[in-house]
Amino acid sequence: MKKKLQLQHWCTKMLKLTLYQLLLLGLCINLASAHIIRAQNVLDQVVSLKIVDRKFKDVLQLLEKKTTVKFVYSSRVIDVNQPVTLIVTNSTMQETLEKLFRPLRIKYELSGRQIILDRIETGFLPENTAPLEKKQTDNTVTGKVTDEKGDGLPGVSVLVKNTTQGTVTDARGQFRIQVPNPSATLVFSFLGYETREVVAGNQTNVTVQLVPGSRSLNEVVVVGYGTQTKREVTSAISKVNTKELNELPVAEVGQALQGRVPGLTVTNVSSPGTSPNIRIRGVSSVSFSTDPLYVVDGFPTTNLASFDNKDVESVEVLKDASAAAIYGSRATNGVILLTTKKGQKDSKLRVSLDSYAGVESAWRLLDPMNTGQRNRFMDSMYSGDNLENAPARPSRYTPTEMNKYPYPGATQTYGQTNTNWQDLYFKTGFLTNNNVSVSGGSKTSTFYSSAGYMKQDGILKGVGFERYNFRVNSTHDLGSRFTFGQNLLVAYTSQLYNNADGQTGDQGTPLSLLQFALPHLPVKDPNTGIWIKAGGDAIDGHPFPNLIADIENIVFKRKTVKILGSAFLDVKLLESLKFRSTFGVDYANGLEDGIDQSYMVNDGQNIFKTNDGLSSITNNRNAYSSLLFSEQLTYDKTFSSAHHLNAVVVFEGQKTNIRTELMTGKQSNPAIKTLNGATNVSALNTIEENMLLSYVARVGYAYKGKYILNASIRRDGSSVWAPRNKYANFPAASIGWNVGDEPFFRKAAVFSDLKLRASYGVTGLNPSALSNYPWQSLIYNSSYPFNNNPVVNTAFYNKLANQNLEWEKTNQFNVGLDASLFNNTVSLTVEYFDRVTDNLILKAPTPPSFGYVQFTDVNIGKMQNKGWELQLGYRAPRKREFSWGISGNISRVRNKVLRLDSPSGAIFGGDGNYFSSWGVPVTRTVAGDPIQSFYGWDLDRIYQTQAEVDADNAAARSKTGNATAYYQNQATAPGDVRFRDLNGDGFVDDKDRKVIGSFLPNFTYGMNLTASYKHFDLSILFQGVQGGEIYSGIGVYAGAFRWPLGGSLSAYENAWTKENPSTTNPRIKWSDPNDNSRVSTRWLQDASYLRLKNINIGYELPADILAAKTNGAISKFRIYVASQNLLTFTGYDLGYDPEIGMKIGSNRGAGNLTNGIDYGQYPAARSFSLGLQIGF
Amino acid sequence: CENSLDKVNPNAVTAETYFKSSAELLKGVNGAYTTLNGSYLVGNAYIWLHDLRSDDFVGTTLADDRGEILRGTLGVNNAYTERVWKGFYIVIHRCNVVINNTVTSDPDDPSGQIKNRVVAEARFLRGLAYFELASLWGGVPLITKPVTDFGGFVPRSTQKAVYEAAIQDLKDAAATLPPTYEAADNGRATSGAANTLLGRAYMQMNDYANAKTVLEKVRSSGLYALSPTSTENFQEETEFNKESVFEYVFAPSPSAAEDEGDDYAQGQYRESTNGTRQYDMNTGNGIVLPSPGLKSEFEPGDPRKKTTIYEVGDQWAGGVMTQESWKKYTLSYKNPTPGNVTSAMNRRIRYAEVLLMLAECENETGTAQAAIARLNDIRNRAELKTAGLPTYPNTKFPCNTKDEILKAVMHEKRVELAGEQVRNRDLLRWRAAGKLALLGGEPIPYFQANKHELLPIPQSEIDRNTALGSGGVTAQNPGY
Repeated sequence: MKKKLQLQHWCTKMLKLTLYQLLLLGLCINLASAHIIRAQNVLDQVVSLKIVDRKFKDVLQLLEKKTTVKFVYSSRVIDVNQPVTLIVTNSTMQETLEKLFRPLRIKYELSGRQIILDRIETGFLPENTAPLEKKQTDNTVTGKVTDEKGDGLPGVSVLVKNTTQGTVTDARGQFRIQVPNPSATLVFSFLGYETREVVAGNQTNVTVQLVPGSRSLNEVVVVGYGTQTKREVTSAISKVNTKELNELPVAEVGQALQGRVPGLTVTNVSSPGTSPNIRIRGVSSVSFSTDPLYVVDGFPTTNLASFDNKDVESVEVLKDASAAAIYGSRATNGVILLTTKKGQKDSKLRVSLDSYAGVESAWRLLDPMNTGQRNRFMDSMYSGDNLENAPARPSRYTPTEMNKYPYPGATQTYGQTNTNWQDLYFKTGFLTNNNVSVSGGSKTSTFYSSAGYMKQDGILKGVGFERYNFRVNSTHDLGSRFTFGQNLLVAYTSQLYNNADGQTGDQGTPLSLLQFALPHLPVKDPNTGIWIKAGGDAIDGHPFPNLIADIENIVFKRKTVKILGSAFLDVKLLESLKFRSTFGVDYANGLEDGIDQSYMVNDGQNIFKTNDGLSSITNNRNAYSSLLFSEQLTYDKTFSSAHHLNAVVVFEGQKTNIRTELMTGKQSNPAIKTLNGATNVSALNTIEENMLLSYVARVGYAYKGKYILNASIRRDGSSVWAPRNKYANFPAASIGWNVGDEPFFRKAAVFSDLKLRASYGVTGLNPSALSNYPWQSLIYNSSYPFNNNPVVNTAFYNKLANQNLEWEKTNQFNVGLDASLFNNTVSLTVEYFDRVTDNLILKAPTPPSFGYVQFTDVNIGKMQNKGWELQLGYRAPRKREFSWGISGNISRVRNKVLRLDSPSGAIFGGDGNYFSSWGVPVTRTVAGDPIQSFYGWDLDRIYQTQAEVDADNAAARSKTGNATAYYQNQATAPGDVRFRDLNGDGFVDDKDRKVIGSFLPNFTYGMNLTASYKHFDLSILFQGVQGGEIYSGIGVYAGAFRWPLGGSLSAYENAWTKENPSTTNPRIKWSDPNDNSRVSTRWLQDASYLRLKNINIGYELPADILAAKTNGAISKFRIYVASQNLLTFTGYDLGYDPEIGMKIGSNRGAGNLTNGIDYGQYPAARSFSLGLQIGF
Repeated sequence: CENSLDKVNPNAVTAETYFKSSAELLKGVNGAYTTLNGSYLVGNAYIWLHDLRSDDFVGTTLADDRGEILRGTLGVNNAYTERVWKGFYIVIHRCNVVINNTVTSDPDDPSGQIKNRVVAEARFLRGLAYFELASLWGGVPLITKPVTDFGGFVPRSTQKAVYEAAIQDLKDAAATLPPTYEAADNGRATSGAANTLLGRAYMQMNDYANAKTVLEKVRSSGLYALSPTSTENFQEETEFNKESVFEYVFAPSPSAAEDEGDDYAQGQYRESTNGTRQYDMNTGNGIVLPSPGLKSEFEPGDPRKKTTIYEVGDQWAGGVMTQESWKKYTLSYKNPTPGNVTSAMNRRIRYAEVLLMLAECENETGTAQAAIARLNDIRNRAELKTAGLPTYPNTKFPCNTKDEILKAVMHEKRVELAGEQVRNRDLLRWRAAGKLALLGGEPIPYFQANKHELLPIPQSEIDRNTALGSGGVTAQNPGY
């Protein structure tokens, strides 16, 4: 019992110490700020006084008389009658006050000429910059506190145990403290580091090294509308710091998060500058993109490619509902909070240069056939089984034709030409990012200012990304109660992109088309500059466009100017009550210039200009402006050192205007790149606006840091919905229990800390995903040409209005466990979650008899995502100059559609052209299955003999009673695929499809290893997914051989023939009458991969050498080499990369149901870079 | 106020706030005409659905869903039947909006004259749609008001009820519509067009007496006459001639018709305004050709054969034909580019058809001489007279009995109106009346009784209309 009490006492002590630290921090700032800047005149006044044993209030009066100051205090706080003695001669006011107040434990603040007095509650007194005690006693201990690298650690609190005596280390980490006796113990503590205790003994000079706490409960975590200490966090929040964020040379913060956060999956979908596909805890919407809400310094925004990762201090990912629900209606897909860097008060100017440059290229290329191999392929395409199609053989593939020259003056015949289109299309791209930042602060102001330039060329021709960005963040104390601050970003980005990427029409994406490339065609006639193109089906087997000519002549560029600025005013109404008013502007002006230039081509028959000599000019503009105002009251107080109460109330509004202008036209003069003088000009212009009004309240209560309760509610009103559905409530609550602080738990020495928590809450889908007026039915206009006069003269509406349309809402339950084990060397976080999204919005197909052409958005579905996440970290105790740590995360999400009330009960997606037999869907979404499961036929085997085929047909006839029935098809022959008759009706048709796979992985994981030895450091990041499938559209392009197309050498060589029977690859048959290449398991491959996502090796020049060589001008000099995607382990070999997102350029309906289909997307690149970090 | 959540779309007006004046109703009915022209109907699918079910067509390589129609193997997912079904219901929806209008007074139309005419036009188009649906599918959902909620499903009515609804609409239309318009309104429904359609509907219901009455009104109006040559009816230069009773107007600078997709891209507020014309000229890839039966139906020297089809060796704007081909409606008479058949020319209800329907009605109601007179009205067209085609009766068509006269009507109608989406419905009527023996037996080789009389109800309607199958009419037609 006694022991228990002692423990409790100890715990309380620890808690107090923490509070002392915070207090101390505040005090230092207060004292410091009072001293120098604002109070220069007041505090520089010189006084001489000799007062012995007088009442304190009399001394104050005397001082008021002798100087211009005025004291303000509460006699309930300050004991004004205590006797004091003060003797000063020609001392400044500052020195005088110091001498007077210190022994009395009084602190002061200056406001104008007023000096406001307050009591220093408890704890120790700060040692000021200039030592007040000149005389050093025998019991004085001096020393130095260093960090894990041996550098002096400033600001560490040093306390004599069980006393209130203490100090903090100076800028070099040095301290001096008086100890009562040699057996006294000194306690060293610092935020983010493990606390150490050292017996003072007789040593007068101690050096103490602090190691970072692997998990510090006092770490500050940014949550919506405030911060919490990690101790009091009761929801699932993952934090990524600036170092981790900047290890990868990527353009966007989302890409930098890949593999870092359990439950967060990042899939790149296109070339640099295009946002990756980010999902937090699974797919939460059927119809809409699942991008999380990004909040930068409190401002919900978009265009993340405009942000420089170097400017980001930390990223917090709010995963569960209790964390995210504070963002209510927009938080269903999770919230990612970005906090940009700020200056530190009272710190010297810090200049840092952070720069890298490198190259990137494809890590894998496919194996297309060369001219000789293609000729052999053509021979087999029109012989044997295909002999009957010999007349259809494209004319080029005869020795006579192949011996002709492709253009006048050519030195190589078609047969001698061997163009590797793939090599021409891929490139080695340059990448660089440079950021210079200056930060610092005085007693009252702080600032962080940076400029950055980034360029990433990408690995394919015709793409690239550039960014120029500037940032200024600053804060200014205006008196003791007001703080003004502002954050401003200005960025210019320019993205060159391939407008055919994501296309799935006849042409497919450029990468899929590449599989049809014809190596016997040269790129260009160098004499005339005329491009060479295939002659069409009859000649070359395909009207293969000249991809290189397209890239050079079809140029699409997207230039965006982004300004994100906000200003805030903090008012300290009371010590514990603060008011913040924020106003901000988010402006993005996107200009899209596209030229589809007409060019000269020679298709072997004719020389002509493409597009009849007319260039198509596209000129689009999208101006987005959003105004935010937010008024916030925060109350934060600890009562009797046991009850911590934090409450937040916010009123917020965000109004967004979107202006879109689309202009196109035809230009006959190739020199003119604009629509000046163009013909066929069409212009479309829309203006949309939306408004979100929000009321937010949150209360957090912690008892002795052990029992924590957080509850919040947000009421959002959105203009997007119909009048009576505008408002909705998004409540959440969570509880936490720091079990590790319980006396009974201390006995289990394994655990240093243990916290259990649970949460439940409701979030909604950002309504602007639906466009701004989704419930209305609009009047459309067209023309009917009475008397042949085509004028716009009609009006009609095409869909039902839906006044009842409302938010998709997610109810999420989360339980979590945070633990530190083995003396804080091991940290562990486990989460289990269950999210049910209801009211899924889908386009409800109405019966044709209603006469509506468009389908209306209706809330008709329900979906569940549940799973768990595990994060485990180990930081080995530092051994001399070697330290290392490892952390890993793994997560699993299972998705299930619970309800789909559309009449047919199914939504199909992913139908393309060539790769899905022209319009057969690849995915199906139905209740009971995971979203967008791959849906197709089940490949049984390859027919080896005619007898097998005949037996199947005979069985089909006896089963159906139809004497002319076939199991599959009249044309089925040995070498064709036998698909399974799943419904057992005797033959294979549309009804014999089933779920054949899913893009959803079983697990996603990441592992990060860090180590340092002396001045070398190493960081290795692995990232991977396990399970799930890819439907390889590009594989169909390469290996289906339906027509004399396709370029995969291995698919050709492994095809079934009588001489070379295969059990996995069907025969090559002209027009594929058995439809061997239909959507089936044949094109499905395991999507698992493991990647060495990043490896980064650095060397930092030792500080003393630096100081000596540069006279202290340079404080840090680190050089590193890094490689991204150095190694990839995967079984997927039908495409360029296993990291397959969804079809880009689509965010509604079927487009969203295309995850995991390899359309031939821009593949992940392998890069090598060299970087430099210099601090001044 | 600035921060209000009540945001109004500044880019378009909403359905609730529209159709509040006569001018807006006018635009509403124009929208129904547009659909008639679109690719679901006369711009494309409608034409295939009718003509491929007749015996005038063969198609060697017609492989897609059109081939299914031609060979009678069509199922519930046939895209062409679905498009036509959808198209007529879009017309019905747009007409319902106009017919059920809430306009009580309009200062710009104080007498209500425009409004009344517009509503009558909408009744005409709705009547047309229900007549088509009833004759092709039998009983269909009879929807007479715009559907305002997702559960507003309507079961199938009987075929008779749908015909009656169509007849009521057409009667109302005939009573209100003007007989003619100013030139600027060329293409609008007239009372003559309404009466002609009414005649078609009565005939399809075997009500020849009523059919005769309304068709006779068209004849006696004196507004219509046969043009000297039948070819004039298929050339752009002679559009809206005296023989034209109703036209679907296509814009003079044609471009390919766009499919009316199930969903429009945001911001795309226009539907197609141009339609393609019929059957591609056969340049070696011809997918539909005139059937041997049709070719032999023409009497020697009948100039209408040259109006209808090209034979090898015929001259066209691009030279000498090397393949046989359809000709009617194409621009090949003046455009030398094969395949370029889009045209401002369009299908029409022709006065010739009125006369031939009258001939059948007169015959059925026992006035044989009047029937023969109507047949001879056709034979007296200038070009036929010049060609020396005999009038009725003649040796081949003695016209002594009711059946012999009907046989003459059958012949005359087939050669006069080949490829004009008439034959299919005539065969349905004659089959129902047991008259196909006059044609030498069942002309459709695949015909299966209790199945091919009607088209299958599209699967999309069955899937989404949960009321289908209730109210005494099965969800699907027999045989599918």
